[in-house]
Amino acid sequence: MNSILAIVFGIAFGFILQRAGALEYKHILRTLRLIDLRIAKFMFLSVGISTVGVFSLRTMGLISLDMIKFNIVGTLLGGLIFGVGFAITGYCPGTSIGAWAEGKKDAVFVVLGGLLAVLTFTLIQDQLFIYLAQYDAGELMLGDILSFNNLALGALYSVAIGFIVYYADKIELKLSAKKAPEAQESLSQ
Amino acid sequence: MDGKWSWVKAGVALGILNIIIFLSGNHLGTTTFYSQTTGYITSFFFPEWIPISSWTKGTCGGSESLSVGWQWLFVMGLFIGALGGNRTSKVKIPKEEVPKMWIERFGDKPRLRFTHAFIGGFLLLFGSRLAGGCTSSHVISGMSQMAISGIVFGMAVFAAGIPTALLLYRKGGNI
Repeated sequence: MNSILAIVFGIAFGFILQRAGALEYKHILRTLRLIDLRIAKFMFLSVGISTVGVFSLRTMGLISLDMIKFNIVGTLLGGLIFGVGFAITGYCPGTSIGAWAEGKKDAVFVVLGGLLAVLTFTLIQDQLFIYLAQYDAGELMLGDILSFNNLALGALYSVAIGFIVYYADKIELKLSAKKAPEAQESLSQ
Repeated sequence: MDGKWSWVKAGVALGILNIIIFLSGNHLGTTTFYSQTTGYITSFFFPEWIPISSWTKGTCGGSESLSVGWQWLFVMGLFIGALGGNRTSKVKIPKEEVPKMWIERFGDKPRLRFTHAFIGGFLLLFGSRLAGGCTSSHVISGMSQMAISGIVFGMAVFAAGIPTALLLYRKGGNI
C-alpha cells in the first residue's frame, strides 16, 4: 500500500514541479540572478503552508516529526557546495530527474555527475563522519532554541514566511514596472 | 502565458501535497534514490568493494538496504509525473538539449554544457550527502518542521547560489 502511495505522491510531485516551471534552467537561474523570484516564492509559499498543517496535525497527534540532524559544519558546507552546483546546473537532485523525463539531455549529465558524487562520498565518508561528529547538534528545531509553544511558533513562522514572500513579490512588481516593456515581455516568456 | 501555473497555485498545491505526505507517515526526499542507485550499480559489478550498509548511511531516507524502497519509488513517480505534465501541457514545450539562456551566454557548445552539468551535478549530490539531504528533504520537508538543519541548508544554498549565478552571468546575457 505504502509503495503505491510512494508512486502516486511522486507523480503528483513531478507534475507540480513541471507546472511550476521548476524543471527549467532559465527559471532557476532567473531566481538566483534575482531577476524573477518565481521559484523561490513557490518553494517558500509551500513551506509556509506545510508548516501550519504539520504543526496543527502534530498537536492532534496525527503526525510525527522526522528531522535531519543538524551538523554545524556538514549542513552549512553541504549547503554552500550544493548552492554552487545549483547555479551551475540550474537543477537540483529532484528536478534533474523531472527535467530528464522532459527530454532535457543536460539533466542526464547532472544525474550522472550526482551518481559519481555519491560513489566518491561513500568512499571517504568514514573519515568524514569521524571528523564531523564533533559538530553534531542532533535533531534540533526552532522550538528547542526559542523554548516556545510549537504550534504558536509554527503559526508565527508561517506568517513570517508569508510576509517575506508577499513583500518580495510586491518589490519585484514595482521594479519590473520601472523597466522597459521589452523586459517585461521576456519575463513572461 | 506558457501553460504554467502561477507560483501561488503551484505553491499551494505543493504545500497540500507535503501535508498529505506527512499524514501518510512518510517524508519527501530524493537523495536516497541516488545513494541506492549508485550502491546497486557498484555492488552489482564489484560486490566486495563497499559494504551495503555504507550507501545510505546518513541520508534523508534512513533506509539500510539497497532494495527498491519508498524513496526510490517516489523518484520513479516524479519521473512519470514530470513526463505526464510535459505531455499534457496545453502549450507545446520545445525540446531543447541545451537551455537557450545558457547558449546565449556561453555559445552553442553542447559538450561544454554537458561538462558543466556533470560537474555541477557532482557538487549537488556531494553537498547533499554532506548535509544529509537536498532541496526536497531539507527545504520542503525540513523547513516545514522548522528544523534548524533545513533553515541553515536553505540559507546556505541561496548564499552560495546567488553569487555563483551572478558571477556566471556577470557579462550580462539575456534574462
